[in-house]
Amino acid sequence: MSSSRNQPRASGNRLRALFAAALLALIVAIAASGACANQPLNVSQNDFVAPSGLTITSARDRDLLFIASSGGDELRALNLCTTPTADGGGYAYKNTCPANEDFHFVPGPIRVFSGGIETADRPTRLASVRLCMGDCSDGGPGLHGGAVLVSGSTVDSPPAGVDGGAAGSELRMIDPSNVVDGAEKVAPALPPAHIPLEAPPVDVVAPDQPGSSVPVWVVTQSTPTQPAQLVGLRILEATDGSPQVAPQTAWTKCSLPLTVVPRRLALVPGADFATPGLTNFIYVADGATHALQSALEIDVASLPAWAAGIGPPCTVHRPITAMLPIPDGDGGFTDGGVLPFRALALSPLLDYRSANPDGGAPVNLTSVPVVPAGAEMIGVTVNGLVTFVRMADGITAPIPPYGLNDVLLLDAGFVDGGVLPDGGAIAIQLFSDGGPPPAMEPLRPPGLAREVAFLLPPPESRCPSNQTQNGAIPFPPPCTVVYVGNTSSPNPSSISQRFPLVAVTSSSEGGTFFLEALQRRFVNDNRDNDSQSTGSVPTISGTASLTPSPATGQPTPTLTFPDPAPSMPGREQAGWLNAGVTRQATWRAIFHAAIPGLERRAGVLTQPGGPGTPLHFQTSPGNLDLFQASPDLALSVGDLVAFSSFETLGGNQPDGGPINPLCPDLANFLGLSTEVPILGIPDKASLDLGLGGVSTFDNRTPAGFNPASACFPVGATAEVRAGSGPGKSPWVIFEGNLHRGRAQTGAIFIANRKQRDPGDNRFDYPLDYAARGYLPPSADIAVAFTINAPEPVISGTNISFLTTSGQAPTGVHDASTSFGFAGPTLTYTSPKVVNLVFTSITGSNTVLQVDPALIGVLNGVISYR
Amino acid sequence: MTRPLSRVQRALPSVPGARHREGSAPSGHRPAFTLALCLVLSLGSLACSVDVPVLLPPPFGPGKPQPPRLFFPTGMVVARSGHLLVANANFDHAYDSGALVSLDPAWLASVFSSTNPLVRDEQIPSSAFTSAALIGSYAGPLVLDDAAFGGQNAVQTAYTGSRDSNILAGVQVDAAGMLSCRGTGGTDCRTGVINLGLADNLESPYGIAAGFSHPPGAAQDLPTIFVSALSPHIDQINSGTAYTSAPVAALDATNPGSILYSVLASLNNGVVNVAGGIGAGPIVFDGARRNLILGGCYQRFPNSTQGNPSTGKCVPGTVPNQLRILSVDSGSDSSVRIVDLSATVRGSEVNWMTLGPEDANGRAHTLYATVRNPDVLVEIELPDDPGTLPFVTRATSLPSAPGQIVRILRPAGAPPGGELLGITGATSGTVDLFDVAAGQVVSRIERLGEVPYSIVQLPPAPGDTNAHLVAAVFGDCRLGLIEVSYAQPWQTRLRARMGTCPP
Repeated sequence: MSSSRNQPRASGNRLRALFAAALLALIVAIAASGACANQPLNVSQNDFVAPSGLTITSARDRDLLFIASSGGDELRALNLCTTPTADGGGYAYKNTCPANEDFHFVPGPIRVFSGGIETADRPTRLASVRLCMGDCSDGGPGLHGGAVLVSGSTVDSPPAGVDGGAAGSELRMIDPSNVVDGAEKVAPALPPAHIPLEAPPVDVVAPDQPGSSVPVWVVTQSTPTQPAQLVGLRILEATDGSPQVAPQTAWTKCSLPLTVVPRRLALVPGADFATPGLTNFIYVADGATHALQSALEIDVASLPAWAAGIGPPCTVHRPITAMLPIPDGDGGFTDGGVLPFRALALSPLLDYRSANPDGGAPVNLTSVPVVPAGAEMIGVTVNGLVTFVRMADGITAPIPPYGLNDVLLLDAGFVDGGVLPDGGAIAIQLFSDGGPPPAMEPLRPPGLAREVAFLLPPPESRCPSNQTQNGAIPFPPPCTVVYVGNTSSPNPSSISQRFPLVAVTSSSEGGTFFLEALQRRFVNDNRDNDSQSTGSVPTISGTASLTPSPATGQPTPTLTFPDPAPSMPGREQAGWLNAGVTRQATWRAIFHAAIPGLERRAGVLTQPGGPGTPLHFQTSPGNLDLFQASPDLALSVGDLVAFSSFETLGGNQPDGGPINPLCPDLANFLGLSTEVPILGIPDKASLDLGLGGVSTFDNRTPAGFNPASACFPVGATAEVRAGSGPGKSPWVIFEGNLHRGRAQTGAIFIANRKQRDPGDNRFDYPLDYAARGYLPPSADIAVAFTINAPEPVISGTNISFLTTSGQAPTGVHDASTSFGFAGPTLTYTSPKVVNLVFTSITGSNTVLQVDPALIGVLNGVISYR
Repeated sequence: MTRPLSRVQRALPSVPGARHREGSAPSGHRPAFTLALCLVLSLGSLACSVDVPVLLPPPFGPGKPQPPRLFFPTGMVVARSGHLLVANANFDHAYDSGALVSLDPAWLASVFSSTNPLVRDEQIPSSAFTSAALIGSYAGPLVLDDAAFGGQNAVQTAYTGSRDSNILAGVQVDAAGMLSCRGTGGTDCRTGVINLGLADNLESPYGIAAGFSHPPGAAQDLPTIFVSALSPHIDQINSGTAYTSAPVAALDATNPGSILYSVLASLNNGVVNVAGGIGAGPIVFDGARRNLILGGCYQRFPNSTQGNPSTGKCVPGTVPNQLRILSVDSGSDSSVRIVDLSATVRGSEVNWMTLGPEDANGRAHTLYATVRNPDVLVEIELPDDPGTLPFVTRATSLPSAPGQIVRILRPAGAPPGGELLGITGATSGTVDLFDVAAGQVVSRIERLGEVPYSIVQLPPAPGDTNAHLVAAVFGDCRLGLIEVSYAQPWQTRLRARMGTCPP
């Protein structure tokens, strides 16, 4: 007999009316002092299970934030009253949203718990529609309603008795006003409406503008043989304010190309879909592994009428193609291919022209008084990079400091880049004229980027004010405020900084980070707490240390960093550190270190030519060619082998003793005490080794590794090490635990970024390059240095130094838990609230509410859990 | 009413000691039995004696042969014959040992081919059990030795570790699905093939992988069974700090009682600190790169009890979430490469790992891993450049406590399709279907029961339109049988929940 949890679920899909009364208790813990300001305010009792989808819509006198628990089967709703307060107190207009419900969850029947709105199993993505009839202005008497559309792995109306099973091919629609009515017991809670589709929905999107008839688009799951369907439907407002779905005869549908794997849908914020004749686009993120484009731009008017089955092909207005530029080390870039998107967002309108009667740019908004809506797209790639797209031509935005829409190059020609270790000259190409500026590299927050959203720039009337003796004087635009700086040190240096256009991205490590969208960089606590700052640069911390310290009289290598070369990109700073490239790390140069991947190799050691002739080391696996081909590993003749242990071959005698006991030369051998040179690499599974060798403890001392011929053949385990000598690079370089190459003694080592692993790429463009007189940052050098002779005598001698990045991307974490993994992020503005950011912290079952203007300030961050 | 004996009961060989103590049929080793009896009686005359019965698990007991049941099923594999082998862990110590059972593929097929649209909630019929063998308690993952022999082994052996006795059980399965102890024959495999605690200080053997290695001096690759320690060995306790190490034993797959070599996957002796001396959970053998990859994180807590220091999962946030990579070709001298996942997805431990599809050269380029706290699936790129460490390329949220992963294979000749993964959710009682190409969970099968953890796919047959998955539901002692459409992977269906815990 099964337990009850295994029984078929009773008919759900209705507001859970299972509990008795009492008002929801919400705010339960208040930090007592400013010293605790970085700790978020925790609001519990919501029982989220992997919260994912977020959306906000209107429910008559208030907005509701809906939160989908993808690990469960229900939504929660947070009341957000919208009526602003008047200057003299009270409300600006009639308000029926009780203040004691504001920022409180819609309660369940037991009102200390938040109510659950059952949808179906695993609600994931949400979209909302704002409906309004009549005067839809703030406080206007229009009939304000809404609808929430839920996509997820819902159950497809299973036959009676069938338990578990198929994912659903439908959307479910919730009436937010009914949610409020149900909680207030003035109307029965209604189950969600079912909107049948023909395949499971992947994402759903709706315009942010209210109307009495609002379009909605949904994209369905694709398979290798069945294309995804882009379906347009329409939500109407009934006379009682409730949402209704227009009949299928009013729907549209088309098939996306079979190669497209749709991940997200996006619309231009503020787009007018109500006025006939206007052209509007919908954007589909293409997350296919080998995507031909990052996203598709489709004219919504081009969608044909809905018909059952596979729809006709969509008319793609144009592909949006973000490319991955890979620095080639010489100031140029190679093409790293198309970046498939897993999430995307388009910029809202930025228009502060009215702020300056002369029509020019307002103060603090040097070049962009107006940026049309949809001029910029931020895409999050499937592997967690943040990419900016210039929508004028649908390609990757140019490298800073070029403006978003700059298309002309500086003509700076070539400069002398110095001399390569092999004596060749480096000619650095700045930019040639005749083509567009090079594309910028993606940004990378800590962890992997997950989702992205823009904050709406507040109008000038909502700019923050400066309180003076004569009253409050609004600051001039820009007006999006982010509180930046160090709020926790004994000498906090935080300010409320204003930015023209701000976006947020969530990260797999749990953070929500702010992006300065027009400058295409992270908002930065180190740079932006000073309006005059042109950015913080990385530094080399302290002096290089040498371990072990050479004894008196032993040769002592030194480390020097190259001087600045102001005319060359990426070399403007000593050590050729680069902001946004150099990370905080410990760099180590290890003399005669083991070549990564060859720390231990076992094999059979023989002396095929007899006594006095070279040794032959046959090893497994046969992949030495990989180490030879890798420029960073560069295994070659002249590198070294140090044996760590020997073992007999051939098993045991009947009495238990080994058939070939180790000869005394090897039985008494001290492991890793001797280095012998590699004379040849005859094939990918063997090394020819010289006799003799030197001591690893003092390479001036011959070690005399010359075992008797009777010792061979013998099993051996060896470490393959970087060797010294003419043309050799005896130093193995590590940044943290990541291998960065090999360095010669006396030659400059340039640690270039190559986009080969997450720690090996640019993460930001944090400087005001033009203001500093820097060239566009096209050379991604993390650091450069020279290890000067003499070489040490002890193998394993380690020269280390620290670099600091100088960067502190402004971000918010739920500091009350160490578990991260953030999901969808949503921005919100209303007549009452200028800007709020909500992020689902899926990994810790919380939803974080952030007021960007109050980061680090008491109650500026609230954690709902 | 007398129940007819199942095939497995009829096939059960004698279990000598047990039968004696339970007073059932006499054993075939009468002289030894007589001697033992005399000794016991002699000692009993000198000391107070308490008769503690041996409670053998189903189908061997207790008392007398009983209908076979599942009791806390853990590891599962599908033998070449199509038989599903299920290790029963005896988690509550209701019996004195665990048991490995072999389930008839025809019965499994009949469940999936049933036209009954309802989910079957039934006991597994006795006739579905082909064979059974006694193994130790607290069995973990179950692994066949095929990979050690390139599939050329005439008779397959399934291995699983007993975490309370440190004994590795080796049970052969023949073409008819009959089980017998590796080396000794019979079905009482409790003594196992080796006691790794005694032989190698390897405590709580858990992670097992079959592969090959080329230790120093070997003339060729040797078929190898790798076993890792879940519980780190305490080398010393100094001022309340446990200094521990965790070995990996490489056993000769042709003679699993013999250790080819043993290598420390972690060590903390106060001077050298490699991965903090933590114990491992799952392990994976990457044959193309000739590496072992170890996940998981287990610590010893010397201050937590007055007695033997306890073992538990690492305290989240105190130890980085690290993979350990060992070469299988350097013998006991192998060095350990550390891959820290914490910077990308935090996480307290890697719970399970599975290699992705292989390219034409037999190289897998992706490692799928389930991570706890946060509960996510991470996809880790395995670079071809031997100097570059693996790194996370994507992370996807999963339900609570994700467990094992199974890659869903398509039948030969089927149209190509995207890579699909089935992932158990231990505390949510679910199996999620993850579409790798789409990068998202496309379906979730719920209501499997308490703690589904292991999951396997039954071998696909040409013409199949659905994949057949079996999830072992640990807490409810049952199997969940799941059907997944190849063409539309969101079309999943729970077909049956078979089995209940013994009364």
